[in-house]
Amino acid sequence: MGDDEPVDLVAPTGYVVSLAHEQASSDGPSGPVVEWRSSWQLAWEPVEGARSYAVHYGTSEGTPGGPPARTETEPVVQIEAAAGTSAPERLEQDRAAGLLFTSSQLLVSVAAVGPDGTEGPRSPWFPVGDVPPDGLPIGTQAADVLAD
Amino acid sequence: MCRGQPGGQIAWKRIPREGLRMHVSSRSRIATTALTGFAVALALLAATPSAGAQEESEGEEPLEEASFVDPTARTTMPEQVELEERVYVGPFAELLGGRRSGIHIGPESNVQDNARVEAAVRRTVRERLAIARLGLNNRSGVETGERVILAHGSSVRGPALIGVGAAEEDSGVFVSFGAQVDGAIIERDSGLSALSRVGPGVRLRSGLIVLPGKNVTTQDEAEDPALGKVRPIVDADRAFNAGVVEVNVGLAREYTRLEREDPSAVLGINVDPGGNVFDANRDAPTVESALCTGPAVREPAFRNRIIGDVCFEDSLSTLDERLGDEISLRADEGGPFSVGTIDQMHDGVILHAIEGADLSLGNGVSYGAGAIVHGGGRPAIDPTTGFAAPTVVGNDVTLGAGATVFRSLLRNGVVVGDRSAIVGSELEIGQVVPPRTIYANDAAFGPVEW
Repeated sequence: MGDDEPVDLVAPTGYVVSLAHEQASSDGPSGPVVEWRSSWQLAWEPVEGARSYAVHYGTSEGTPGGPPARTETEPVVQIEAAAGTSAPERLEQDRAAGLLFTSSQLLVSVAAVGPDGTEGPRSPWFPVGDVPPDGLPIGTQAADVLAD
Repeated sequence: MCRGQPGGQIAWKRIPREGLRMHVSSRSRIATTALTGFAVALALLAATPSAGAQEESEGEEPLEEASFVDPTARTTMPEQVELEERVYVGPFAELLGGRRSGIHIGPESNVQDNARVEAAVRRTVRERLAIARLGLNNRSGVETGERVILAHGSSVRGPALIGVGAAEEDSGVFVSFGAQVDGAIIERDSGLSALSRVGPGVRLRSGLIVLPGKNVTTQDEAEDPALGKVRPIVDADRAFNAGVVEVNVGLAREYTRLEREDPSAVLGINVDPGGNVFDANRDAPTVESALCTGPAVREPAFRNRIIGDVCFEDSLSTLDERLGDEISLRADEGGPFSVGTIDQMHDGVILHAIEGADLSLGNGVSYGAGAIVHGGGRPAIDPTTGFAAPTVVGNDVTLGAGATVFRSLLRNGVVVGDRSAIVGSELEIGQVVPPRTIYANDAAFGPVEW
């Protein structure tokens, strides 16, 4: 099979989400504060025949058409999802709320891309920032179903 | 292209009147009508079916460049209101130019349902002095740069500049539900979260976003995240802004196409434009069954905008009795909306949903003036579909004036106070959320400070 011949691609499977946090403490105008940033990661099993993975964004206002927002060579996408400066006792609540606000407005869907540049079926929409306790994301609806 | 100049001065590049007419009123007539709060206002009423059914006739803006102003949107001093290309102005939005001050909406910007932009307002001496420090005065008006989003129920009180200045990354500006820019400068690559405000004389710098419900009244508050009112913008915010801009550019194109095919189709109770990846088909609202099994209705003369796959339990005559004015129920992205019997729906209510998300509203619900229910998948699985559970408002729920519900479950008898926001939460039967409260993740996040 040539490099640019079409292949039958399947939708990614085995989705797992996680968070990575960075934080630093300092003194604020009215006491100690913590500056924090949180990145959200969606990973999935490699798709046979995929040369890369297309990443599409959806929003609370609708879904843009057109080309993917970004392309990943590995089966993972990481997005800076929330940031803030909090009093230490508010850190967890503020971080959870920041991630919730992001997950309420931005969603992501991924698809394998074959050697000829054709996209395979898309994943469901996953809210950016949501991480259920078991790490298994809750999708909204299959994106390619909506696109049909 | 119109740009804010260093020091806050505005260099107006006036779009010729014909330019505005091309976008707005070549297919409309401008009539004088009385509006609440104004002695006289000019309303844009689409009426002249001159465009015909062709895609683009001679002299028409190409669809890809077209701006669309919903026929229910209103303006004063239309000669003072300028729209650049690919702008979307939603139902009942208000663009209120002044005698000596204008409004300029930049390319690919949007003014969504019930958003209100005033070129100038009465100011105290203290406010005028604060605003003067930004280089603005009562003739400066309101200018937005490129890709500025004025979301449902937001407001701008002039003078104000939004989306100006240089930024390392340019994601535009998002002014969220019920937020207000009041005599301020909002630089590019920044934003206001739901129900927040930036007050007179304040410049919100690139890279910062005002937190939900916060009222920024000093420059220190606008610049120092440690004071608890702003946070850094993140990549997810920028991706969101870019997506929203693209969606609204698509709405401008598709509503323009729909209007050219049938001018009455963008009035009253009618079909959504379809043609977008998030809503390919043109659906009409139905009545007499919240399960969408009742008759479809197209009623261009109806006073409110009810668009797309909205399914009412009530009959059309009951809706006429129980609905106020300036209501915008838009299933042009997500849907269907299942709307049970309505106790009362006051003026300015907005229903909307993200694509792929439906919305279920129970019987006997009372909707306060300006209440917003925005459908979106909740952070919980719906066992019947395996996907995220929908936003649900139960029976006999009371939503206060300006209350906002997003991605949540409100069980029967819930009461949401005026100007409170419920996000990502599940409220118990009969639970009461006090007025002016941001409620997120099943807990009070903080107050709405203004």
